[in-house]
Amino acid sequence: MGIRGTRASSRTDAEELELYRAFVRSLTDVCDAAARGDLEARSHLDPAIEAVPELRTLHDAANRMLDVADAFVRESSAALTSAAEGRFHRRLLERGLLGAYRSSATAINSARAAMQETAGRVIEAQTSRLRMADEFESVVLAMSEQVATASTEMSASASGLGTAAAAASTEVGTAQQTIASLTQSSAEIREIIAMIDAVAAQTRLLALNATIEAARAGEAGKGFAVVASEVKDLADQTGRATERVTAQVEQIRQAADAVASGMGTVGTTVGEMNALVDGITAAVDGSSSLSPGADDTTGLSQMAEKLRSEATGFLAEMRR
Amino acid sequence: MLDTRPAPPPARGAHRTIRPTGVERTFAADELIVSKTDPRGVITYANDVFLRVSGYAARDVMGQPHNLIRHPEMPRAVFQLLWDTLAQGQELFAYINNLASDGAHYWVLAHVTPSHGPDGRLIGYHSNRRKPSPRAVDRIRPLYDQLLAEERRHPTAKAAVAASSRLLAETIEQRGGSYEELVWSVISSEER
Ligand SMILES: Cc1cc2nc3c(=O)[nH]c(=O)nc-3n(C[C@H](O)[C@H](O)[C@H](O)COP(=O)(O)O)c2cc1C
Repeated sequence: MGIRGTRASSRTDAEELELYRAFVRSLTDVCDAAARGDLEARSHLDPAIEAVPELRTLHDAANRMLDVADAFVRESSAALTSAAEGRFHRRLLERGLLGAYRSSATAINSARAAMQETAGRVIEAQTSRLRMADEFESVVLAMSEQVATASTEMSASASGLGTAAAAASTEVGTAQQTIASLTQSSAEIREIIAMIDAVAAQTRLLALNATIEAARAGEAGKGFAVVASEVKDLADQTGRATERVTAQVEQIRQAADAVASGMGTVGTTVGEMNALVDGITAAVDGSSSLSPGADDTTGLSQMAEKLRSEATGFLAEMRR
Repeated sequence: MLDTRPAPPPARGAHRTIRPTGVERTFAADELIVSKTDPRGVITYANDVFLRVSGYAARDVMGQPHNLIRHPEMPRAVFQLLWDTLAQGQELFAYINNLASDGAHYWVLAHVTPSHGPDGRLIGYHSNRRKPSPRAVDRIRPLYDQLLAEERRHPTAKAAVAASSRLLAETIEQRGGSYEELVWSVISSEER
């Protein structure tokens, strides 16, 4: 159909041309607005234009062009916003979009799917990190709990041990004194025995002489001879007794020597034990417990506490 | 819920009640039905597909409230949700049954969004609609029937929309998600 259509027959050519020109001007405005990004712009019909089929067709085509651009911009930005906010169910509908619009929609949807997958992996990593943090926490807490308990127990047994060691060394000292006095007594006993021995020998000699003199005196010395013999027997018995005592004193002396050297070893051991106990105390409570003011060495219990607080800080980071 | 929609002007001329004929009308899958309204819901633009499918001339729809094509079997709760969502500046996807001038009806999958001017101010609303898949409509229809039945148990429009909106919210809650997730579960499984 041309300008001279049936419905246009009432118009002059000049009027018809003016109608076309007016429409071209208004459509140019719409295109300019759209080019500036105003996708609200549309061609609007007035009854005169509606009556010209070509213009009506152009009007519809221009608006369809704008409609699809408008729809695409609205829907694609909403789809991307949703994906960015983690609402991945919101797709871009490809139906109604043709050609480049459709391929672009397809591209956006695959980007959305990729984002969803990445987000899934991030969530998975986050979940496993949190699970790891939980496991780590329970291990560290149990461990520091155990260390704290152990260090409390160790500290208690070290101080018990220290007390026992002190008592032992006192007792060793006392025993050593007792042994020393025992050794001295043995020496004194030996001297006395030697004296008794000498007296007995002297007595035996005297008894012998008395026996000889008694024999010489004949009948008159008979009674004296009996006494002299008794005295000799007595001296002999004394000699045998001192021998036995000497042997026993020697045995006692040897035993005392053995005990004394044993005591010496015990004393050294107790001394070493004291040093060990000090070491344990320092390790458990820190060196400051031994020399207050010097808190450079951390004790086991402080370390356990520190480990717990460091782990707590680390876990807070991990759970972010 | 707040009815944030300003009252549209009364329909021009004799706004006759169109009786639905039960005849279903469709349009092509590659077509978009487009309309724009002012902030009150008064039509400022309708494209050629809109006019052809609804059976109206441009001059019949321009300046008319958008409920011009409202189908009586559409539950009020859906439009309440539409206006509530728009009032929050959000987009909405919804299956809507529309009434053409000759009493035929046509289902659409509508996307409705606010339009903003260069200064960011709200200047109106926009909707483009696609041809829905029949299976999607079959899935949404029972929900709408339920909402409509609820509405018909109440004497006033106000009570009706309150009751069916509550029912809609409960249904969505039971399915454990949002309305958006509900509509997208239908779109994702039934539309291509
Ligand atoms: C951009 C836009 C598009 C709309 N499209 C439709 C539509 O296609 N069909 C419809 O019934 N209502 C549509 N509405 C909603 C109507 O404005 C109205 O709320 C609805 O028809 C209910 O009418 P009623 O309140 O008179 O019951 C649309 C609203 C907006 C803002």
